Amino acid sequence: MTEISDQPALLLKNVRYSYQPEHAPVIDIPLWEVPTGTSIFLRGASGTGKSTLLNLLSGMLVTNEGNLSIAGIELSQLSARQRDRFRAQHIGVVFQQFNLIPYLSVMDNVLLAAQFGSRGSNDIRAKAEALFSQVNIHKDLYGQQAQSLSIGQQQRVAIVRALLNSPDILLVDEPTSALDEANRDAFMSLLLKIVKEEKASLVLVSHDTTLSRYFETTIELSAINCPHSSPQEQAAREGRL
Amino acid sequence: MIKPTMFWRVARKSLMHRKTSVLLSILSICVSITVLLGVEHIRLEAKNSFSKTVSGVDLIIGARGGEINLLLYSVFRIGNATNNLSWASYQTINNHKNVAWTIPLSLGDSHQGYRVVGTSDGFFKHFQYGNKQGLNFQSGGSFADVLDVVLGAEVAESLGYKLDEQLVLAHGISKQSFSLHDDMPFRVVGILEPTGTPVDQALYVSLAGIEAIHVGWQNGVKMPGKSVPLSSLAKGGLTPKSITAVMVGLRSKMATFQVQRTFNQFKPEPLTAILPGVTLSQLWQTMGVLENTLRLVSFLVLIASLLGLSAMLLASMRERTNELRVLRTIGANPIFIFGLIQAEALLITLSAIMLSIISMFGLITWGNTILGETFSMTLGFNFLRAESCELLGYVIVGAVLVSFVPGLSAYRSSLGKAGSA
Repeated sequence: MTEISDQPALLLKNVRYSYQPEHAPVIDIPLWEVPTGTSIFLRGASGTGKSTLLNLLSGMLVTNEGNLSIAGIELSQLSARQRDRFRAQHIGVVFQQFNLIPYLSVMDNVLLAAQFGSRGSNDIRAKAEALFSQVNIHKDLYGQQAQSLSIGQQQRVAIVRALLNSPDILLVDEPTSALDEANRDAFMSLLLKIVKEEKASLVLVSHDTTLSRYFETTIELSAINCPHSSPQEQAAREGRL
Repeated sequence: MIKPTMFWRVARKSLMHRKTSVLLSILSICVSITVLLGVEHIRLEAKNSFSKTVSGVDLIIGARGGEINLLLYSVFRIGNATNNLSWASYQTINNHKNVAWTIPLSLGDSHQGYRVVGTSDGFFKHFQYGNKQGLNFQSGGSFADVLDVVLGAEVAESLGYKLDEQLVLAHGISKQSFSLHDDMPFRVVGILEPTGTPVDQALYVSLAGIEAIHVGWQNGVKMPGKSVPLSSLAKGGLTPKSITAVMVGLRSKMATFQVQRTFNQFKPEPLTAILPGVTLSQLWQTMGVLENTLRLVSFLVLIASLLGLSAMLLASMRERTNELRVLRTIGANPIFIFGLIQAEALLITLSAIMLSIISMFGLITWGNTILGETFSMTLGFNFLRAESCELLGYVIVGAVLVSFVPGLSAYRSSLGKAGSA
């Protein structure tokens, strides 16, 4: 269940990450905060550490240094096992493609995620069905294999799956690049509407500038992430904070 | 956390998603398990039926020679005796105070490649095989006249003889014998029921019959003009001078070793007395090398197919990158991923085991029609003995062990940057 807290949905302080310790960091974010209940568009070209940041936010990767907390929980303080569990319960993720286990049915895909979030009871099925009807996934599709669905349908199923455990934050990665204009529009308004109804926070990451029109807040990744800053700048910043 | 039903459903559907390669793996393991079970089954059945070729006979006594050789020619009708034992010695054995009955055996003639055994009525009364099963006639009865013959089941079947038909015996045991006892044809008076032992593959005549056809022969050659008309042969005049071997039944099993020693140290003539059971197991042990080679080969086949399973699962990891990433994203920990791969290997192995048990039933049914026709013996369906179940247990353990390789590979890759897309 979602914990009620005054904590920001997302708080990053002096987060640094590099894949190899001797390399320059790919991610270097002095400070970034996403208040609870807001929807943020994070724009960044590919190769600017987008995927790495998403993996850090979802707890698949752990920061080398700095603090990264979601709903007040410091991810680096958790064990690997606890992090996996935390991800299942508090973070929803929707990718550009390959969101579902191809050979499982639509319903099993969703229920599997619910079980990882320790929500396997009967009411979860009812909740799933309610969410399905909101994203226009018809009952007939419940039993079908995920791979038989169109990309658009798969993404909508992925939204249901991501929201089913009532996450604190929903991370969405390039959701529209596989969709045409009309579907993109429908998808975006659906996404924003359902996020509002579920009272979740949303961080949508994309290189597509045109998406900014759906959001009140647009942030350039390059504005918060400065991985190539000089040691002097870093020292100055650390003194300031 | 994840309910077991959901876990196994994911494993099952994942396998069904990759039907072709999974099916090939199942078949490959199934073939090797079937070979393993088959070799083991045939080995045990053969050993079983081998040790049951003769029962109820306490001692076999022949002229001094090798113990296994004596067993081979007296029971299996393989090879020849190097020497005979005299009629006088036979009488001594027969009259020994501990001896309940004897079956004299006189070998050396044949019919169409089947051995002819000169014996007495006692053979049909006392000889036992299997679990102390006696011999029965499917038609007719024991020989009453000098030139009567009783046929083993296979002889009657393959040569198509019926009661009252006449046949001619050949001198020696070669299939193409030129010395026929054609002046004295025998009449079929009885046919035995099949036993699945060498009993089925021989013809039985009285000792007097063997003597009768050799009257007028010297050193294995018929002397011209010396053949004697049958009518002139009184039954009493046909006592043999010697026989090949004698099977002995004792009054008390307690006396077995004592009687064996008595005849092994028999003064008038050097004799060899054996306990059939002991010598049978000695003979079986000489075949141990073959047995172990078969088992070794079937084990190697099994290991090869389990390694194939491991390779198949490992190769599938590449196409499953996205799937594993999704699982990680929705909260599956690496242990779950590892367990999933193990579960898939286990499902494949269990299906293969089930399939090979079904094939064993099919193969035994099919094999029995052939075995029954040619050897008048059949295999039982009891191939799931404790030994075979133990083997199947090893197969499962082996499958779990080899799938550590793909399992750990999936585990490691899901620990790392699982979300790079």
